[in-house]
Amino acid sequence: MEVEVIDPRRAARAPWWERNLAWLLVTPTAVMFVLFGFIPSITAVLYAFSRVRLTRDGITRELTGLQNFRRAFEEPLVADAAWITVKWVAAVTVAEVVLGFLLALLLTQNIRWRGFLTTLLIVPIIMPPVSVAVAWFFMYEPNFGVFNYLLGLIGIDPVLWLSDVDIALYAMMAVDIWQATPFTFLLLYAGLLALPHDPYEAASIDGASPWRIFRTVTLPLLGPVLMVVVLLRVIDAARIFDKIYIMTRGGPGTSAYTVTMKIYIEGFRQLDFGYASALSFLFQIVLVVLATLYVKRVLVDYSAPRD
Amino acid sequence: MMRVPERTGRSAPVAFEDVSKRFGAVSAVANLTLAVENGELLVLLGPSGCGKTTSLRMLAGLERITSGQIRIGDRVVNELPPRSRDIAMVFQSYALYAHLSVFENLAYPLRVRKMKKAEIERRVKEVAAVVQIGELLGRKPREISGGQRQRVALGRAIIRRPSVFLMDEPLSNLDAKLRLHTRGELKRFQRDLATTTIYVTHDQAEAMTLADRVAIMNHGMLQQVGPPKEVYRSPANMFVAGFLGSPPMNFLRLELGREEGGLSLTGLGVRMALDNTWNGRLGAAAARAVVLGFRPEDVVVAARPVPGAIEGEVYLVEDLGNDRYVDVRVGGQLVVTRLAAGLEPSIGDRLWLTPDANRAHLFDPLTEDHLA
Amino acid sequence: MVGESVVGRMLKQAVAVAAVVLVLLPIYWMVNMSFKGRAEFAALPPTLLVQRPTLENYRDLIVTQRFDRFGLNSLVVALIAASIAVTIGTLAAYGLSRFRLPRNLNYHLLFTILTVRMFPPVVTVIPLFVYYRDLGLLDSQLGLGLVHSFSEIPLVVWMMIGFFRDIPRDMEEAALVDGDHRLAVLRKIAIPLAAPGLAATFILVFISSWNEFLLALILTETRAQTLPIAVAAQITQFDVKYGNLMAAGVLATLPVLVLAMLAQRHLTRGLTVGGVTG
Repeated sequence: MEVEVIDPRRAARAPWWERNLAWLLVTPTAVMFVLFGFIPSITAVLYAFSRVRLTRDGITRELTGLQNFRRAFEEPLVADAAWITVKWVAAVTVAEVVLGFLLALLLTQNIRWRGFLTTLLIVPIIMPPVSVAVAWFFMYEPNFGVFNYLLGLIGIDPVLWLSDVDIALYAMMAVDIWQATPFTFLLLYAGLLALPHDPYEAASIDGASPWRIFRTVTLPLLGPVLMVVVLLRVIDAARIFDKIYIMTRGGPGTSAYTVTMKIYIEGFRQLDFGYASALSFLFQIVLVVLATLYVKRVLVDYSAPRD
Repeated sequence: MMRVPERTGRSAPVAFEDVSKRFGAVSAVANLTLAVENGELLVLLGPSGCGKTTSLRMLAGLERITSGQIRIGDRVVNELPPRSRDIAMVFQSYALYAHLSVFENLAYPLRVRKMKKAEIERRVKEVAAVVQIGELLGRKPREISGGQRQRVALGRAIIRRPSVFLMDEPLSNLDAKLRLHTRGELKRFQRDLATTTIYVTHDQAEAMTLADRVAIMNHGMLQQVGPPKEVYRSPANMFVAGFLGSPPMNFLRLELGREEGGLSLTGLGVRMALDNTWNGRLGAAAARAVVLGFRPEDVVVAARPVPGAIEGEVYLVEDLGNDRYVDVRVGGQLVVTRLAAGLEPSIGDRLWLTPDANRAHLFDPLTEDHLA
Repeated sequence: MVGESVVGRMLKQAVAVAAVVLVLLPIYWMVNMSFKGRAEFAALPPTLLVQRPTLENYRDLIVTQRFDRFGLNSLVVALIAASIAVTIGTLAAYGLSRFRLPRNLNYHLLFTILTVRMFPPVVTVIPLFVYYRDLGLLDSQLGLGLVHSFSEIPLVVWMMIGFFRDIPRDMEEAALVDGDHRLAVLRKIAIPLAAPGLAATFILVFISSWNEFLLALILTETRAQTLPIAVAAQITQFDVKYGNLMAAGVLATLPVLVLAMLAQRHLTRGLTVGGVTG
């Protein structure tokens, strides 16, 4: 018995929304980008070339040309901030990548409880920077913090970790290194695990020493992953703000004024939006270059779908 | 053994009218014109990359057509989405819905059309019985074997009783024994359903067994279309001749000469006279280079010299159990012939091969077209 | 490894364990401290395991200082951010992974999306502050949630493209032949099969929003203040109540830790696009 099913779809073309579905799917994202990315960016550029004052109902804005930029190049604190940021990025990235790499190398060896240890190692990465900063803040406490206590045990005077102008920046670097090393570790570990076995077997049959194998096999093969990790960390490190703000508000003095901190202070303490925008504009340019490099690398094996 | 399903009455013919598909600068299908008759099983055959799957996908509506048009019945379907074409498809990987049970997989096309629950259940049970997966209805695809998945895919295709069936190498993921078994069942099945079926494969044996007609493609172009026997016996060009048949046809590059006694082929240490039957086929051809093609099973092999035969030295003997083949070295090339019982050559022996004149072919070395 | 000495192996094992201990030490310390009463935490030498555990710090935070309100703010903001980002991002990811736009737009769009992720919010936050002020979105959960969702869309797109890639295309094609239109295929096939990835992505976005500091600092004040800001506010110039501070740190961390364990498997992939920290 054949039951004829009347199919009203038989002669229908695809409706317009289906034919243009790709565009429709991407539109909400595009709208968000325009609203929260594009428009504020243009406005920020406008501010950078203006003098902006906050009033009760809104703002006043008058174009001042390159004045903000000139000031940026003249003010010593800006150059200081740039230098401090460079120091921070360099030190922190090197430490994190090296330590992370060592940890990754270690854990690819035959270690017991490897999975468990790895899971534990990931914890610092997802912790709120606030909590991390707070925990270390306490450890750095001059009177009852654990570091000074341990120093006291071996007869060293208490160190003013976060109050000493020469030390504070480095003390805070340690905090970031603590939190981000597991991150580099994770990525490098995954990278090491994904390496092919053959070159290693061939090398060991050929009788190469472990150091030689490392130099001529591991490092070159891991090159791309290393580059991604370094780039990523550099970009993230340049954006540092939370931890420094929480622990010392950029102090003591101005010893921990990174670029981001400087922008924040100019923008929301001094309320000089124009100047802050100019500073962030300059900062942005540097980051664009880095970001482009990174994304290019990461999208290397992305290919658009076929028709 | 699958049970006989009911006849349906809604099969429709299919027509490709000068259809082409380009991906950027690459031409995947070029000017395909092919008419598939109502109710027939047409096999699209060819090596990978020949355009057969692309053609099938264009028919399904999964690829856009660059130029030309495709008809199902008398409707041009170029702009219609797959769901409006009244087709069903069996994919090479079966493409079962991994997160749904076998029952839901079969019911899917019916649910989309908002069929009534009771009716859906009836049809699913009916189809499940036909393809013999009745006891698997509650399972998920990953819990059943490859052969069973294939039958679910088939069931999902037939449950809607469409006008056209499309099959994209549905047997290639099965192991050899199952493949042979299912092949036979599919053939009977299609016949009973009497629905137009377009079947894509690269396996020429499969094509020969299943097809009512075979359409051979290469580099995006249709080479030849016709019933299997015809395409096998009268290939239109060297590609078709060499693609069908296993072991494949032998090709020898020779010189055609016209002499007093008639036509002859020379070259490779061979001197073969062609009898008069060839005269008619060749017409008034002048002396030229040609390619002689003959199949391994169309050769008479002798251990003693035979006038006008091709002489060669045994290179390898392959005993496949039910058949024996010998690879003979002729002037630097290898010729494969089937060995009749009674001959037991060893490597190095000399043999004389006489191709059956009625079954041999001559091709143009340049265009590869069939000459005679 | 063949030829390795027992001592060598034990040494490596010891170093690995030591590294993990070092890594977890500050966390342990914070938790430990949070349960110490006033008297105990000033004691020297600092006790390794709290002798007289007390909940007074937590009580002070939650009851007196209404930390539950801040927690609620963080929760609402994170939910808004995750919901919006995941919805919008997943749609875009599906579009970019299944359809080909002309002129290689797929690549360019993805490139732009990912690059923007790399920029610090400090750049756009100033004009945003002004706009929000005008629109009345300042110090609101919705306002902060919207900004967070924008920041996280790249992460969602990146992760969901990967998950959609893992779904075999012909399953969707079979559904198209069987009668679905494209959105139905997304709803009935793609999303159910990508569900675990979707959940993990939601969690990652939630964590990112929960942890976020700078935007929350600038765009909220009193009503919509989130937990990290409240925690940071415990560090005043005057008498810092360390017990409260530690308890606050713990409170901020707990939900994140739980969620991260749930999304553990997909964590690495998400981290490649800039991680979840600031």
